[in-house]
Amino acid sequence: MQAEKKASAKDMTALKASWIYQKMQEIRQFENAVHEIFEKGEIPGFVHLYAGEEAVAVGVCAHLTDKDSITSTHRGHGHCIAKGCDIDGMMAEIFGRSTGLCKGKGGSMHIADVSKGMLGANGIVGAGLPLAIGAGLTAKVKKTDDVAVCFFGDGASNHGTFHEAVNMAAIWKLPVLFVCENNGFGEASTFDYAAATDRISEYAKAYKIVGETVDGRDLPSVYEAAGNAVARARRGEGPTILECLTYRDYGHFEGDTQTYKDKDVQDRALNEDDAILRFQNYAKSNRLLGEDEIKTIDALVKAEIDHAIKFAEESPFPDASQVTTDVYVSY
Amino acid sequence: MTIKMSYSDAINDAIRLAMRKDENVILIGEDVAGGAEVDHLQDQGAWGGVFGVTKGIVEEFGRGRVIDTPIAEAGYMGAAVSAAATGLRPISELMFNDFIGSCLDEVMNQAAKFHYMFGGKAKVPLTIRTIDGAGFNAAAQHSQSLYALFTHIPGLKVVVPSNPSDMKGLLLNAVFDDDPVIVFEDKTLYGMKGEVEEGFYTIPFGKAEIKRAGSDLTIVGIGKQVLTALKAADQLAKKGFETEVIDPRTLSPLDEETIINSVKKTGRLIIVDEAYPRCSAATDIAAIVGDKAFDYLDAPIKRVTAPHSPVPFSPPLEKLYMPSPEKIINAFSLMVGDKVFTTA
Amino acid sequence: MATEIIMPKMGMGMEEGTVVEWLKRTGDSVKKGESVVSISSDKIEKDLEAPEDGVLIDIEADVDAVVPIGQALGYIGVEGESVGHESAGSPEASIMTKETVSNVVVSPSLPDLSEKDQPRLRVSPAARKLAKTGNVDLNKVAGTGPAGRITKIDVAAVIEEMKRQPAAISQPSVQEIGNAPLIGGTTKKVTGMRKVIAQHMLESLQKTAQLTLQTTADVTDLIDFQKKAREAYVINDEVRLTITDFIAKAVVNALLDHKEMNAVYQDDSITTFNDVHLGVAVALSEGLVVPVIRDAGKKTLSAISREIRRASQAARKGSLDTLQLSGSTFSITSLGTYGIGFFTPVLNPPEIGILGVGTISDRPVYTGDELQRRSLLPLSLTFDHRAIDGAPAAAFLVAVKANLEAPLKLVL
Repeated sequence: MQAEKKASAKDMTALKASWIYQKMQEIRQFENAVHEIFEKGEIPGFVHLYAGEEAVAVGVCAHLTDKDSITSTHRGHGHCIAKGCDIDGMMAEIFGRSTGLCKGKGGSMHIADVSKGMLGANGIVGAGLPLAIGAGLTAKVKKTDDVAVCFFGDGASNHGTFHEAVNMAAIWKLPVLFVCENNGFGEASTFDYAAATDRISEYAKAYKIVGETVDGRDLPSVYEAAGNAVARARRGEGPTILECLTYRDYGHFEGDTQTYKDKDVQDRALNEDDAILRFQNYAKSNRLLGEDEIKTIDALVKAEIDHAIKFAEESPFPDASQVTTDVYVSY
Repeated sequence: MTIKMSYSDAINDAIRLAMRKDENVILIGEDVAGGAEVDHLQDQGAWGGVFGVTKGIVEEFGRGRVIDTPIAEAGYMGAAVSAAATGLRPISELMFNDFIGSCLDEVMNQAAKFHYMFGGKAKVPLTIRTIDGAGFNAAAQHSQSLYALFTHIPGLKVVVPSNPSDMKGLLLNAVFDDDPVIVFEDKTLYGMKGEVEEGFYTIPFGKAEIKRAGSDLTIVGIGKQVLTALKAADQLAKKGFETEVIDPRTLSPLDEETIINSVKKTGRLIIVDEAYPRCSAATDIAAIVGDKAFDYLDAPIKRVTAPHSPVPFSPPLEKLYMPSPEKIINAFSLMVGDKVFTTA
Repeated sequence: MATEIIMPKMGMGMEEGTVVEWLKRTGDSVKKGESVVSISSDKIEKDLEAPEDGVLIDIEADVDAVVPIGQALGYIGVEGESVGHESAGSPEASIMTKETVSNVVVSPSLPDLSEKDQPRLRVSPAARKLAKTGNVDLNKVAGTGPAGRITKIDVAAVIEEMKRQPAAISQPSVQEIGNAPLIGGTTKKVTGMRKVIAQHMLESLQKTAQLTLQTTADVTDLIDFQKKAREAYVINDEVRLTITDFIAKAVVNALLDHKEMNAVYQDDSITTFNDVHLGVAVALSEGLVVPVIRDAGKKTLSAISREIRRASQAARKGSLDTLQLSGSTFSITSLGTYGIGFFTPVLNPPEIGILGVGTISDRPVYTGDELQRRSLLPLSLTFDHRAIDGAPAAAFLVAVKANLEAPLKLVL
């Protein structure tokens, strides 16, 4: 096998940086908006916000096409946006409207768009891991070079499905990237308490695959590591565990009092360690984006999110007949 | 043109036909080939499933499409679900239906719900083959008949073939259906021989078969219990009672119409089901008939089922546990109050 | 194993009881001693208590079911347990030998209803529908199904019969034509104690030769005496003599002197009693109960007073047992509190006499030539002419009147 050139963040083009920054802003502003609207009581059900973890979803999805698949978690808005889901449709879905991506039948925890390779946010912790290897299996059987990415949390790494899926991906050398978003908390319990290991990437050793831990608030680090892992997968070299250390800016769910959080750590995360701020600085210092461009993207995204909210609010609720449609393709 | 074939061979035949017809069909499960990476076996299988049902299939299609999995039901069942959602038509074998505890989430929350949760934009053309049934002294964790569990879940289709010919047609229909389908193979029927049409054919879901016509009593048998019902019908005929025996063939969808029309004719219904009696296919059918054919009932609906207890191991106990023609006739005698049957 | 809640025997004569109300539903947890079901015999309504802690796993006898004594009304067991005595699929049924299976089949242990009154028809839904469309009175159909259940074939047979005799059926009777349909109103099924009373009243009126004599007792002195007696007894809180107590004592004394009235008519024979067991009717919301003051002839006025009070309190609480409600030789009933004067009491068979007490009213009465204000008590004696003639009955009534008019003798 030929030695491939290692990917590097330095290869990032200005165009890519612009896409990355826009996606990060979309996620952040989307989540901030959902946070505010939820507080006003206009959004039904459970909502889990992704704000703070943008560098992970965007840094990974920057290497994917619509033919590649991802599986997601209950904290899935960021993955959807990074994978290219329609933002109007997402917002309408969260509002439970007929124009939602899933016709209002899924909601925040089940946003999906198979046409974009987004196999769904998932209400079950650990469920996405076997699903990801299924998409990998399809690629292998159909002999395509598509890859599957599984986003999962540190909480799911304690679930049996993680070990079953990683083992199977390893023995079958499936084109799968297991991206762990280690935000330090599984619901309200700390990672230190719940996991016997210090590093989730360490599990890779046992399964004889590549494992790596990066700073998940630092987009270039994620971008570079994910680029290499995706490339390995496309070359048929099997799966990778990529652990991204990050932080959940909001609580586990909207309404969480977050008493378990260390205030100093939270302050740092929300300020100097903020993923978007760090990427702005990176892009500026590497002459990928100028201040004007950043301001333009910020404004553009704001208009986009405002439009999504208006779209959702003005959309009708699903028709009564929708209760029992789409249960089966045919019955 | 029909040939005599066992229930087991009918399954093997159906899988091969499906895999020949569509290269997206794969067979995945624990030891569906067996002996993976054993040097002297190469592309040969060792087992072909724990009962040898899929023997020879790996030789025809190779290990790329006949995939042995680790003993990790959640992992491979979840993979099968999403392989289906991303373009394959997997036939995933859950060795014994009793093992569903290890992968219920993948079936109940993932496969069954994708189409609905995602607003009809995803489909999961997955076929789960699984083994059920008591009668082999396999005890409480390898003998259950858990089809009611799946019938309960919207989004799943549930198939309970009672003979080789139905098995082949229903399994082929399952593979090319765009919804997740679970097909129950009664382990005690694997050796059952019957006339089976050669070549590719499908039997649609939700179409019951009237196995025997009659005017005095309707018996609905679930899976293998169709055979028990037919034996009871023979004995009842000797006493002058004509029994209509119905094989629903699929529990979801259920052919309510055929059952209700029969009860309208006979006024009496017994459901024979070797599964547990509570919240079961039998109670479900009883409730539907009680609801939709109340005015036609001329006797209480009777259920002849297993008791509300796990399947016992000891052979005499297991025999007592199962429905039998005698229990059916006793139930009938309670319905008509005819003491002539008490000595049956 | 499940424990049965059985229909208890609550008196010698009791053969069956009626389920009035289930206080618990299937699946409810019950504590030992907790009331589970209300039943009624022909004498009494009573709550049955759970024989042990557990869950009410099955109800065998629904409301209104008439159940022979000793038969199960329901079962207490552990959650998830099935009773399984009738379902062929139940655990017991599955492990039954051939012998026991046939036992179960032969004995669904239901009473043979065909030979008795059928208080509740067992009809299959199909038969019911056919009866409705075919205009068949189900009460006239003999059921051939299990435990006499009327099945479709039974109704079909009647319809066939009707077709063969069209004239007899198709012409409605004159009475039917004359009956305008009743529209509106609230219909309540007659059950429990009401049903028992209905049966008793009808039987009393149909099977005895009862008639009523009436007279008036001058109770002016009695009222005066009762007031004084109450004041005299005030130190003893327990005794608060009422007019009713005096009437009871007056009746008891009269019965001791006229034993021919202290009798029962039963099985073509008349039994006269030496002592008096006096029934005193108490009105309850569910109906009338008649607790019995036993051996009243041997009791003083104050003792009778005490017993009447206790009995009526017990009757209101529903805690009387059957024994306390049966065995009377004569009864008193009163409509005095409703302002009724004379009325026609209905005999409580097999007793041959019952005294109806009306309301006291003040009237002008000539005593000699003098018009006086006197308090008068209407008395109505119903007696069974089969057992006693008019003259001795009148003599008895006059004795009661005399006793009431000489109150001092009642306490002596």
